[in-house]
Amino acid sequence: MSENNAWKKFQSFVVNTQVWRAIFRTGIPTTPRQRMMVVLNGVFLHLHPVRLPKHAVKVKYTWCMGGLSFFVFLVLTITGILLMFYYRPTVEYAYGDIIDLREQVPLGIMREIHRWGAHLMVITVWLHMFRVFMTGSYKPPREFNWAVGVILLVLTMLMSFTGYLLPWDQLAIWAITVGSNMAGATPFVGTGGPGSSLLAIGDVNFVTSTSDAKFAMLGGRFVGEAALLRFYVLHCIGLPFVMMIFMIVHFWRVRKDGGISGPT
Amino acid sequence: MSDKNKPQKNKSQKTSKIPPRPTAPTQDAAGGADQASNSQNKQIGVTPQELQKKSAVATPIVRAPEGENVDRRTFIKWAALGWTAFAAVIGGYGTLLLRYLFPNVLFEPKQSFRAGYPDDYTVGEVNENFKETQAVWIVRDAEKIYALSTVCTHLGCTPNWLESEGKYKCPCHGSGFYKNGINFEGPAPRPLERFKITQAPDGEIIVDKTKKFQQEKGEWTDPESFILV
Repeated sequence: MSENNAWKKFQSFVVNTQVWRAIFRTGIPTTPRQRMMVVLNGVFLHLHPVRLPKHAVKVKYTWCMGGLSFFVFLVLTITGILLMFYYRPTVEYAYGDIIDLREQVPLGIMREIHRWGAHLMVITVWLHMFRVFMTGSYKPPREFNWAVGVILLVLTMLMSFTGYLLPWDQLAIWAITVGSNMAGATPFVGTGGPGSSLLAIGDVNFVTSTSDAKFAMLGGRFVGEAALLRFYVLHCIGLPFVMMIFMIVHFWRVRKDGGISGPT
Repeated sequence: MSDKNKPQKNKSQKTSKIPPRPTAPTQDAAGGADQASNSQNKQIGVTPQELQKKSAVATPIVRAPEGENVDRRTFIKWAALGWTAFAAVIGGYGTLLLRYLFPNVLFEPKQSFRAGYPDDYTVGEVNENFKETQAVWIVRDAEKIYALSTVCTHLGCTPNWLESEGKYKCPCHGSGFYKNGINFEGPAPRPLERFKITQAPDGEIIVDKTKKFQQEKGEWTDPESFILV
């Protein structure tokens, strides 16, 4: 009994310290309203809705594919940051560093987690899209969020594309050569594309091999040092930055468009 | 802070009348305090009267002050000017950003090279000496020498010259080209490209890869696309 008393005293001391009260503003939630306030006041908890429709927890309907995509994105972010400690994006070091990540670096599976995670994310994103399509969840009022999702799909593909070059092996170089040649065939802004010769004044052609879309993408005429650096920066900073902005909008609209979709 | 809230918090756990958020923002606490005891009001520090006073002070700021009304014409004029300036700045920065993506200096190999003398090449030969370094085959037939690009016209891989079969075969998607560069199998949509080839005053061959000649455009008859021997 007295022990219990001492414990209660200690408990009440702890919850009344300034540190505790500064962190947990709402106090110990004992009423439904307080519980709601706890969720609303915390930055991480407020990402979840205060209350859920019953169908939202049914995995059968959503497959949890959106959530899994985001989870894999987080895994890729963490492993990606860790890989950046060892990987140097230069023609001289890139390929060797990739080998070293497997052979010499402790926990040599880190790169494989990143690689398999990347494959998995493409799969989960596609399945997420498939589910949204099959359940008709792209229909109003969620049509805007579908469009945001399409942009996120493209960004996921671009992440895969830029990450593909970084190992700097033959597969990588030629895959990006093929991919960037497609950019060179873009209508009007690619040298090989239709209509590019129309953008000219007299003999001066504006779209040349040093001024077309492919050139801007590679930072040169071929897949080389500049392309490697450019793709590295896009893969590690540029695209994730843009992606996060669209993800914020995406998650926000999931809530604002009536919560997670379910059988009507 | 914690001392102030202590009594309120304890009370809230015992009775249900008290406002459920002990550390809620001051205004809420003051509002709830209308029903609660006065002693709490003093502790929190804002009385309902004070609150009213505050809001009374705040009102004029929200309203547009009289006498400073701008007429519609002036407003539109300044708004248009402001938005134009804004658009100009954004557009200017956008243009600069776009230009920034195109480097002025390339750390790439020179696009022209010297390729020896016509006598270095035998008739009927596909010379692969410059394939690795320059991505060019030098081909000599009965009457001329030309420089053939080693870039597959399908998607840019490098085909292999197969001497025994007399063709260039791309390993990526199976495109095949005759010795002269004409495509005959696989997905390649057009023949390989040829480069500008000239002779220096001393007779040495100079290949310039910045100028290309495409058969489908009828450019292979251009005198710069071959050397007569």
